Amino acid sequence: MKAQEPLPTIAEASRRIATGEVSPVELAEAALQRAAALNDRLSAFIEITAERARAAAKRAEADIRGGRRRGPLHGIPYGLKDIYDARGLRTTAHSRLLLDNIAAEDAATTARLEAAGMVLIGKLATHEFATGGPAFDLPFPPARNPWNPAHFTGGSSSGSGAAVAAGILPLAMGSDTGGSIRLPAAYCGTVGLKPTYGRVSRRGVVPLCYSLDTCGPLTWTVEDAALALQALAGYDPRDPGSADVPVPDYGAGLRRGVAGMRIGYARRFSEDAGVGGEQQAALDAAAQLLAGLGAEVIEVALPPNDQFQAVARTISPSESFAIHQDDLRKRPELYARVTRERLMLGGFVTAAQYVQAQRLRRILTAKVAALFDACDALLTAVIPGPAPLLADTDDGPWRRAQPISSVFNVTGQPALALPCGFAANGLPLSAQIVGRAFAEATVLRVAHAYEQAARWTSRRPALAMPD
Amino acid sequence: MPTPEDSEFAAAVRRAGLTIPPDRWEAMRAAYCDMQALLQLLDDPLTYVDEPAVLPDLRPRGGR
Repeated sequence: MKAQEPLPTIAEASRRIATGEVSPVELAEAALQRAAALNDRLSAFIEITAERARAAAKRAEADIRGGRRRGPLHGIPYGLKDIYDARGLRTTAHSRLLLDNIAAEDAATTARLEAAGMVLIGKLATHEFATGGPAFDLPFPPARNPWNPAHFTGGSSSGSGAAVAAGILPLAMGSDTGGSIRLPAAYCGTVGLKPTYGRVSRRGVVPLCYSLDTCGPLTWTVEDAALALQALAGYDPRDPGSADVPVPDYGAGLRRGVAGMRIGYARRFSEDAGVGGEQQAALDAAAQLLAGLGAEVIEVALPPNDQFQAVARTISPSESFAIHQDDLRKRPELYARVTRERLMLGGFVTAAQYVQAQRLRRILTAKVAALFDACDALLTAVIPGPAPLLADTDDGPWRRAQPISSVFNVTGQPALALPCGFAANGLPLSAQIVGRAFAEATVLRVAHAYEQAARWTSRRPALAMPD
Repeated sequence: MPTPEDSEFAAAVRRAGLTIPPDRWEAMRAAYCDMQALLQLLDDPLTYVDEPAVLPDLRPRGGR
């Protein structure tokens, strides 16, 4: 393993571990060296847990050599957005308020990845409390985009997007309340999967909005997202939002292709949401490619974007304010300005507005679910265009635009972002595949077929590494 | 002379129990107005049977 090269995908690393070409210790060392060499430029990590990683990698190596290989994730490096608990480590949520917050136990997801034998490399940068935006008045700097460090990573799983795109980690956990997995995936050119609400436990993850929060993986490939979800998905009786729905084999149908499937292309919705020329052209090309693979692509109409925005921008700040109101009143100065001001807006929502938003949410969810009577999956944009400059990101209390991604937090359906091209400035463009509730397997199947045909994954950020 | 919007915002800040620094008052007031403008969409009438999305789910969870 050379730290000068991006780490292999989970699938490739797993294959090499199985054949003895590479060991978990070599993988962990490569990840640690790459993290150490690139973190000054990218600020992807809040904490690199080198000692813990080396010990875990040695255990994995001994187990595998002893014939006790647990599965495809055994011995593979991963990272956690720093809102996930890992026993004995700090969970800061990138905030001054939690600098001394040591986790007493693993998050349910952390426990699942550890049980699968994965090797934790470190805790990753986020927007403070998974909200706000990139801020420079916090204890840790904001992450930077590996394709061009002057540009925004997207967020809030900013370090997760940066670490996967930079080839430091093949898997990083993110969380998604309005797009916080899919936006960094889109801006950093990775795959980001927001599973169905309730599919993956949120226990042990710092909450932002109880009725919208979803945990999921960022990976370099769709196959890796499927491998990760296989370990992550499942009912958790200790998470009140967890769904007791059987977990299928996500790898079983991955390679079946899209021939005969019907895919609804929400082109008009993307246009109305402000999707720009290069991004729209890339989406059109993606629709054509899927059609060329044998899918029937039909145009579908989603309800108006402003209805989704009104719902998301009522529910999310209200629930966030309820979580943070005590600190916002007693020690507001500890938050970054952008976080504080965006959280405060939730205090101005009335009870009637909140209930109305939840009523409209049910109606919108039913309307989007009805689209799946006529198609197997939806194709939409995630973002209006490539990543803006970090210096140009919106840091006002009221976001000028809510991302398109939040539509599927409102409805709860699974949605996956994946690269669909590159802008003229070399930054990634992204598409979103959406499925019926709990039909992640279909989402992964469509995304995999597109990815294999489009081959955008062969291009990686140019990151010079010391020899 | 404070406008009705100023008074309404000041009341909302008081009710929420928040303190807004003077140098951020105008930015927050503008954000409040933008938010309320979008949330007017929620005033569209719904029928009596349109229930909220968050309701207690008391269905049996299977054999666990």
